Amino acid sequence: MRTMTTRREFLTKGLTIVAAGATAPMFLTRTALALNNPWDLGLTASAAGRPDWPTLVVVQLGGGNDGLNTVVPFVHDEYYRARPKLAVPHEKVLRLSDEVGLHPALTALKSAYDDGRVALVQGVGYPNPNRSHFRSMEIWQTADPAGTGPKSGWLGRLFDSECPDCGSSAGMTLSAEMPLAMQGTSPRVIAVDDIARFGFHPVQGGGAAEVEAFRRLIQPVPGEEPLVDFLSHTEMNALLAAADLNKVAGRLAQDAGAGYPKDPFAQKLRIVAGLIAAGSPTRVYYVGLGGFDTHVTQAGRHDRLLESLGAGLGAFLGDLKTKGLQDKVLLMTFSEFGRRVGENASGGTDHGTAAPMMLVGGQVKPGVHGVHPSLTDLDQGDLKYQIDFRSVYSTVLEQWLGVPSAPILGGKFDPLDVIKPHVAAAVGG
Amino acid sequence: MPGAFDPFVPSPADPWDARKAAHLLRRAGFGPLPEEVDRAVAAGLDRTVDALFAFPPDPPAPAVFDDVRGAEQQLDSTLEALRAAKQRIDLKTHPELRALYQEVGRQHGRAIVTLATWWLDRMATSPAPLQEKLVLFWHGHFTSAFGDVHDAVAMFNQNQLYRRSAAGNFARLLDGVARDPAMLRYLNNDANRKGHPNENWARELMELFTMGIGHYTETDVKESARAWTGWTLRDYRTAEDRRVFAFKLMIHDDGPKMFLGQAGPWDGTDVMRIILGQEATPRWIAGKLAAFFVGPAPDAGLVAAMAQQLRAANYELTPALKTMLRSRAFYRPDVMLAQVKGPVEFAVGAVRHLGINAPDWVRVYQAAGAMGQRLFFPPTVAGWHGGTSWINAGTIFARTDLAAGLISGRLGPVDDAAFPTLDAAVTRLLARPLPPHRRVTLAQATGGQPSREAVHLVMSLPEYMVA
Repeated sequence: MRTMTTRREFLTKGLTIVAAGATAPMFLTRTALALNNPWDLGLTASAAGRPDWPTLVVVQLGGGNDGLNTVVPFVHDEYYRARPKLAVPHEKVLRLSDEVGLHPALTALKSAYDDGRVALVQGVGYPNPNRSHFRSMEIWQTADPAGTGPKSGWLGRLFDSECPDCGSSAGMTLSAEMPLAMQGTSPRVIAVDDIARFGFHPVQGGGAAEVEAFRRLIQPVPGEEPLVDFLSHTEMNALLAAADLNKVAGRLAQDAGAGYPKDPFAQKLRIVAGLIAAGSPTRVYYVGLGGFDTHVTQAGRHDRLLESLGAGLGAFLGDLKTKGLQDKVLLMTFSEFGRRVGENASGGTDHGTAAPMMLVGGQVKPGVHGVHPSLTDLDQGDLKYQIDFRSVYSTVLEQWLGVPSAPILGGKFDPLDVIKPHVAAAVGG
Repeated sequence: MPGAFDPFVPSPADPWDARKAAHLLRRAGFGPLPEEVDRAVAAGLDRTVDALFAFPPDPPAPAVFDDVRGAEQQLDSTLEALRAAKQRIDLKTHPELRALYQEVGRQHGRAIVTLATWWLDRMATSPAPLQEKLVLFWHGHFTSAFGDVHDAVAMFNQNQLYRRSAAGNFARLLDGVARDPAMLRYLNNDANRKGHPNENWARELMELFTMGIGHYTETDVKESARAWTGWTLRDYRTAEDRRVFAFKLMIHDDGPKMFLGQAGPWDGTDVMRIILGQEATPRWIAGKLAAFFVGPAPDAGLVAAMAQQLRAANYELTPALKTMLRSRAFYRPDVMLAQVKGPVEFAVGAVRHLGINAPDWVRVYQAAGAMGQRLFFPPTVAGWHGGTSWINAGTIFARTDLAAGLISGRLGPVDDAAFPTLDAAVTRLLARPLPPHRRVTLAQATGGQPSREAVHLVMSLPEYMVA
């Protein structure tokens, strides 16, 4: 871990903030407050090729995305034999290599791939896979397959251990419910699904005086009962974040949609891009897309979900490029598991194991990484994983966010070679 | 030395007082009022607990289901005529079907909101709030989501099943759930056929509904799924067909199975019997009930005693529930006011505290959704996690917003007489004194008057978020 900010770095950062002032002044106060936070060193623009604001966007595909119909192993007959109804026909696969290609609903993602902004990691999973949604989602979110550690999220631990003086919005989830992945010991993450309305609204006629009274009333006081103390802090943090979010909402209302599809997933990514462009101090955004539990009549449903995913990611990347931010943002997708190799009799697929993950952004090493799991050497009808998901997490932590991963992941997991070398070296070094 | 599960016995040093009575009524209901607390103090703990279990007979269905059935009959008779004429049923050749399907969908969408508001009103007004609190518990335990079931009538039938068995016999309730059409559709057991098992119900049955993870293997899940083949719906031709359970021998796998160490040609009834015979099952049910009513980490001795009582009483729920509500563990200082109010509990309690009769329940329902709990739409089959997961920077404002909306009178007239003084407002809303720093700040900010701003501020305090 890095040491406290030196005076020289303080000055450098001060200059950076002033220089950025024309485009992103609104978070200046809290950015300045956060200066003696080691994690905040990512702000310095001195290291060559290093993003000024390394931001991570985590996309959770809830329900268990069918990896085999996302990154399709079209060269293998076993795939077609196992899925007489659901297999993607050869001629429809958007080919990425001689072995695999994308589902035809992912055309926007294919364009981004051709543009060098997508890295696909094949066969990601963990030992002794659990086929329960809840347990497996918990494993991915806690990064603790054995279930022996504290019940906190891997991103929550990131905020706790590497960001002790972060403001209240180091992490943000674009949903009403806080995912376990973001939960740590202190409330420095916020959950919001409507950034325009977010805030404390007084009763009719109460006005600013009531808001001010509320602010004074909820001041946390030492010695409160633990639950009341937790609630006081959460209310304080919420009040702090509200003002910033409302301003960004105002800006977004003035741009005309920026080419995003209208569905909620794409609109959440649009908000994320808007917040990043406004200089939000948030480092990790969490966005969900659900409905992947396709036990029954998978064909149309899965197509629509992938269409939503691909179109949303495509619009997000386009927006980041327009804003000059594509090199400052890394997006990672995951799902709690893939699905069984063989389709079931209901035109669907049951819970499986390993599946691909996507890393998307201007600084990824593009391509298909790793080897596709065997379609014949199966474990109870399921794929055997090739890469532990914690290696993907350690890559993101060390080579993108620039923090040691072992304390967060409870052990050493070798990073993968999926981030551009000069970025990985600058951030990790 | 008495155990945590032994009854709380009042003493001059530790009396049965308003604090404890309010605690009992909060946990066993929705936002008790001062006069209800006073009555419970006067009646004493034992009689208050007994009275909580006097449940009224089944209420009738909300009238909106007539509209649903009307739309369904139009669609079904049209489909029947097409079948009789040996026509292919296809939206391309029969575009007139589209409007009929849409109307059915629209009516169900309306009906599920009506059903939710009907239920919220029962929570606020039922003479037996514990019954409705238990229905809420079972809705979060044996979850089904309208978004997957698409049938408001089936969701109502399931809701009534939970009401009828709220504190009845768990084995009977489980049997009802296994045959419940909403559940059959939600967890796809209607598609579970011999030779083509669908494991969804078989897995959640053990993982979430009865035993908890760690007490069975993947093989047990697969064998159980085979046993449940053929437990399905009567037919798919008409809406009514889809609301009737049927066991179909033709698609049932009657071969031998090895389930939880027992070999036999098991079917679903056998699987339930074997599950109910496991030690893990009463522990799991007792643990979940205690987590809901007592707190996230309930006393282990209390849970063990409740599990023992469930087993001894052949899964009758009332004795174990009464043990819990009377126990010393239930009235420990670190248990009282140490739970986060759930959104529905917060919303219904707020309506009651403000004395609003028949408010705009649709708005209240939507507000509870914004706080993270939309009735009939549990986020996953595991239901709502509860506890501190209810609270984040977003949901906390959803709470203060609902309070503001209710106080403004826009959702129904507020009983201003319930707040004659600021102290009376605090007592009514919090059933405890405010800590000194908040009392001083509140008095300064409000001039000591029980204004609408003052009531809103109290309902926005951390102290109002806990139960």
